[in-house]
Amino acid sequence: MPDAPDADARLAKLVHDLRSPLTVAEGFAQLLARDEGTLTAEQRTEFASRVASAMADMRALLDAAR
Amino acid sequence: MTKLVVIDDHEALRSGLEVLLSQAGLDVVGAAGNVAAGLDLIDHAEPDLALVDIRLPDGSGIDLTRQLLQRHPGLAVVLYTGDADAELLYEGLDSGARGYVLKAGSMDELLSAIKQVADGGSYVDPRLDRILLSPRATSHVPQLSPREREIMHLMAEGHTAEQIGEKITVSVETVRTHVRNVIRKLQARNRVHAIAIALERGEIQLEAQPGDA
Repeated sequence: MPDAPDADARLAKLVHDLRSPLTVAEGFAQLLARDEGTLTAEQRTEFASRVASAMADMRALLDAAR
Repeated sequence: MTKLVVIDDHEALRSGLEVLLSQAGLDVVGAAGNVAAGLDLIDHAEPDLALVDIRLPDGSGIDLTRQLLQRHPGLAVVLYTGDADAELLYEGLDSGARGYVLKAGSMDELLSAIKQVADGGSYVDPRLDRILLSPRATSHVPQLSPREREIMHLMAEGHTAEQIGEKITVSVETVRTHVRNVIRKLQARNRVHAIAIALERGEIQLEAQPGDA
């Protein structure tokens, strides 16, 4: 079992690493949510894919940290 | 339209920001994932503003900022980082960056920071005033006059010298004189550094942002 400083450092790294995909997912989800018909079907598909991809990155980070 | 480049080693974030910032009406003229590519990109693309991650694989975004400002003095640099470390913040502000944005913030906050810096202002993430406030610092006797504090407060909120002059009904030159005096009094290297010191000393405080727990 890791000692407390190690656990703290791992948690800090996990939080840090999660921020990038979270920013991507939030940004594209907001774009989709705020769209008033200006996005093309291709853009909507691409942006939804980017949200999904960012969520998959977050899941992978969380799984690796278990 | 503001021309900007993104320098961040996280590929998904970098390419995501390119699209998101473009959708927000900014002209993203390029992106790079390390210091060397960032220098090369900015030499060729000549952007108005560079959004720079602090931790890059071949060096520090802070060192990159220093190099960039030596080569392109008119460039506005916004440091974009996941680190809310006070020492890193001071070093970042010392480098001449005009903005310091935490990745903990939302995309809307990032856009707001970019807009403020692109408009000639400066920006320090509001979460950092708490980090910078320390018992040692707040024990200092305030050195600034009420007018100087008022101007630094408005500057910390992102207003330009012109906007502050209009707001408090003085000339822009008077505002600049006050800012120069503040920089001298606080022994700061530039106005963003002066804002950071004023926040640290508790001479000015920023309003809490919505969602800022």
